[in-house]
Amino acid sequence: MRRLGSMTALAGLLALSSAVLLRAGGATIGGPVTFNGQIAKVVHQRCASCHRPGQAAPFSLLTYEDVSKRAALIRAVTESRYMPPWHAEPGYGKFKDERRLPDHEVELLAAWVAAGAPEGSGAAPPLPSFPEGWNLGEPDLEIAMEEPYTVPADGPDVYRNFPARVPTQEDRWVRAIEFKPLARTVVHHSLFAADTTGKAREYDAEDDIPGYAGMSGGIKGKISLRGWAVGGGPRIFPEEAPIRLPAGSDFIFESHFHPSGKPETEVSTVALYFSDEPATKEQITFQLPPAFGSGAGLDIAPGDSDYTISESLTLPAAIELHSVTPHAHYIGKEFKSWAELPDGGEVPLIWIKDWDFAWQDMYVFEERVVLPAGTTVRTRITYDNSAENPRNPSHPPKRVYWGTGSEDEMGSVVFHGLALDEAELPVIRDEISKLNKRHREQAKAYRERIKEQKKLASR
Amino acid sequence: MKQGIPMLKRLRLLVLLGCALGMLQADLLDIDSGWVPAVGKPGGPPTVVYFVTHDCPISNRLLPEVRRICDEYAVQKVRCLLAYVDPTLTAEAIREHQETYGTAQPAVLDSGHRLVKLAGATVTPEVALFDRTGDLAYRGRINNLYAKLGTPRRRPTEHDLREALDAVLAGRQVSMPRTQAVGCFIPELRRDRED
Repeated sequence: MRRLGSMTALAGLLALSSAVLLRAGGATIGGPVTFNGQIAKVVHQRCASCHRPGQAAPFSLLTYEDVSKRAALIRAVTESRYMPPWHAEPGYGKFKDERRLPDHEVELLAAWVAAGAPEGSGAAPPLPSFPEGWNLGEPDLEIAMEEPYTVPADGPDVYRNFPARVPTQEDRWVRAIEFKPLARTVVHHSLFAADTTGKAREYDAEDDIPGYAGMSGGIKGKISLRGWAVGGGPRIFPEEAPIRLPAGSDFIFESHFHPSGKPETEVSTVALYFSDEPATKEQITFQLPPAFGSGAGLDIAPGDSDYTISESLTLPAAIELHSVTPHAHYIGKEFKSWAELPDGGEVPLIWIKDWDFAWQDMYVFEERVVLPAGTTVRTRITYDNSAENPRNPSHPPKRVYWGTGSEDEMGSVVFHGLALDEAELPVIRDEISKLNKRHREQAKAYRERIKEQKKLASR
Repeated sequence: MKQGIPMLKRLRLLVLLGCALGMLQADLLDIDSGWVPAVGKPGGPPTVVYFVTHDCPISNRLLPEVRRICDEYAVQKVRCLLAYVDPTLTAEAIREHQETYGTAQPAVLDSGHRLVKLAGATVTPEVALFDRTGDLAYRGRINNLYAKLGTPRRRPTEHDLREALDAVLAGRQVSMPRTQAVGCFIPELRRDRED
């Protein structure tokens, strides 16, 4: 009888906790939190674009059955912010397609789980409809990997690059690009580039396995066509600045795979959407520090948990920033970029407090960020080369230098933008070139210094 | 006539038969042989129970290592058992999953979470190692491939299950008898599915 009493009290407590008052979108709501009432809507809107059949995520989150049996997991991963995957710090830069769950929805999910994940009365809201085929409709051109690649069942992650011939007879202007993997569970990200040098094809021919190994494509002068990471959608470029795709070039898929426990065969495809008009503005791209940090002097001692590099660029003329893409390898820890305006004001651009190499992303500003002449754009990147960093690929940690291998490091934030006034493009380019040149010289001296250092160490 | 009975009915029949014989572990029928494994009882070989969710990516990613461990320790008469914890799974689905991931170890559908409770497992992939006396010698992670959800190491640096097996086989105490596994939580059974 006493036991029954305590059970009743417990049930009452659970009912109370499920009826906890929550602030939803500014309004306070009461009443029990149920799947049919509130949760289905959140899960459908925030999770189901990936968590549905045929998509990248490992299981579907559509029905009450799907969601309730993973209730505890959903609570854990939303509270820890592992899911939905979004690494930019809230309030520091405002981006399109932000996948971050608002705080009140995290609380709502937690309250639902604490209450025993009730289904609730009535019917669940209908399942959302998702587009069949390409999100942007019929493409102008599809390019697929020329040969299927088999990702092994087991072992470390795989970084591989696959060139595929661009079949157009003349140069085209790409206004948007969309990516479709075949083996969705193993493809983690793919960066796109066009190679006019033939190098990618030469590398590919070096062995019988499709593609060639490496984390960064390894081709100088390739044209970046951005990329895709799990959870991402189509890439749409600024209307006035489509990207040139040279005729007869090789489109390169620079892909990152996670083994899944069984062998998987991948054939990636991209859909390309062309603009009838060539670009009226040229995209400005600069990196801080330039060239993925090859001239930034990376020399990270084993055990150093707070190694920092930084760089800045002062703009000679106004630009509008379209997107930022941070890049480092495994031991990258924190990224911060901001702009110091000539009037003393500061514009936050991006802040990633806990860099995770697995989630490469291009962050597109909700509205282009206008930076007047005289603005200084700054970037600071820190690394954690300690044994306590589980992402450290070396165990025990070893001295880390700049390089393209997975145990080497890189580090930069890539900025894409446009000149506010196209006539100012040459002076902006000039300033970027000066910075790049300085880093090329630094990189040369650095390579020589590291070579000496390694020679001494091996004695 | 017997051949005409569908697999599922045959399984149910075996379950009923098992119950009728007073077998308390009737829900632990091996999906292929109908054999009822005695786990946590003295007299048997050291037994590794590997808790599996068929659609948990971490659980699946560790299956090749489980397969290797089972194959390597089979020569020392260690028994391996895959315990599928989702009660809604069918024998067919389990068989298909085993085929996909190339696991040939005996599999049971732990529909009443008898093994889950016996071992105190909370996530998949978690393992329980019972020694020859039937005691739970080790429970926890297979290795430290995952530091936390979403954070795999490039390679594991600690191989807890292998170390525990080596200790049990050598008659030593397992130095870390309990560790925290990282993976997908095992959901509590709905009331109507509890024993």
